[in-house]
Amino acid sequence: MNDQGESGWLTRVREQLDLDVRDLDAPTASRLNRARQQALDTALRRQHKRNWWLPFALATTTAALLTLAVVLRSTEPLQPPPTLAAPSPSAADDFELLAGSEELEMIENLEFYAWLEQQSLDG
Amino acid sequence: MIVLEYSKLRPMTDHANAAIVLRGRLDSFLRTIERRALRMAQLAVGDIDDALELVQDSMLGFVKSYGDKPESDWSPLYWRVLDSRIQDHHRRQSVRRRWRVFFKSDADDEEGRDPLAEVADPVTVGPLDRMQGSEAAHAIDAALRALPDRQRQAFLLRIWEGFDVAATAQVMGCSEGSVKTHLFRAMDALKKRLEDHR
Repeated sequence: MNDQGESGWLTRVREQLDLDVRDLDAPTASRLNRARQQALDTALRRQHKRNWWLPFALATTTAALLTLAVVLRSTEPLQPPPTLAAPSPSAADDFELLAGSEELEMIENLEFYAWLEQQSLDG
Repeated sequence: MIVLEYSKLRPMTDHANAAIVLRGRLDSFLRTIERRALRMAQLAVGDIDDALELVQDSMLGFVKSYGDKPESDWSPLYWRVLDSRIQDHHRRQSVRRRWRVFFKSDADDEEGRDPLAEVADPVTVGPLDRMQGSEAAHAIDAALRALPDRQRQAFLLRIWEGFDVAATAQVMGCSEGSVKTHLFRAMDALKKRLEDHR
């Protein structure tokens, strides 16, 4: 204040502002109080809501990363080296082989099934 | 078993206690500045309801963003938030005004004139105004309202709130040179307007 040069009018302005604040009427003071409480409640609740899941998210992410690392590490040596002469059989090939025997049996008995159907139609 | 449960509960209790203590400190701090903040906001926006909304919004923003900062930093940080909210309010108002002017034709001006809209807003004369009985108080109020926003903010923060030039610059988000210029102009304008009441 002093560096600005203390003068009567400046002091009067400051006193008036202090007076305005001190003599704030009750309804406005009450609204102000409610506004403060509401701001505190909302802000702190949001902060709490924002932070509660952080440890869980961190733990879940870490666990997922560790699992992925373990899985990748354990499967890596099992993979056979790729060869040009004999391509490695895929899962589809395996499935065909497994289902293959039944299919061949059915083809072999196809004439019998056709005859059976004809008999049932005639009968 | 009891020891195990106690050890599980203890961190939670500590956390809850810390939250209660923090809330109490923030409440005390906001209580000490809220009336001056309201006065500052009212001088900036005029309407008491708008001013209350700005103060509440600034409190919310302050607690949310800076509540975990050291207590010694709270004061400049709070005023920074309020100053920024006041500027946002003025920006919104000027955008609204521009759009209103853009869509409003001359015919609308003549036909759509609402005589009630020309009557002085009774809300503007709020409780803070009513309590200022004396002519000098009204003159001070009018002189402060008449100042450009940045000049008024510089004056209130520097002279009333007691921040030094560097802190005022930090709060207003401008250079120290700008603060000095705003303050000089504000003092000059106020001095001229209030000469009759010296």
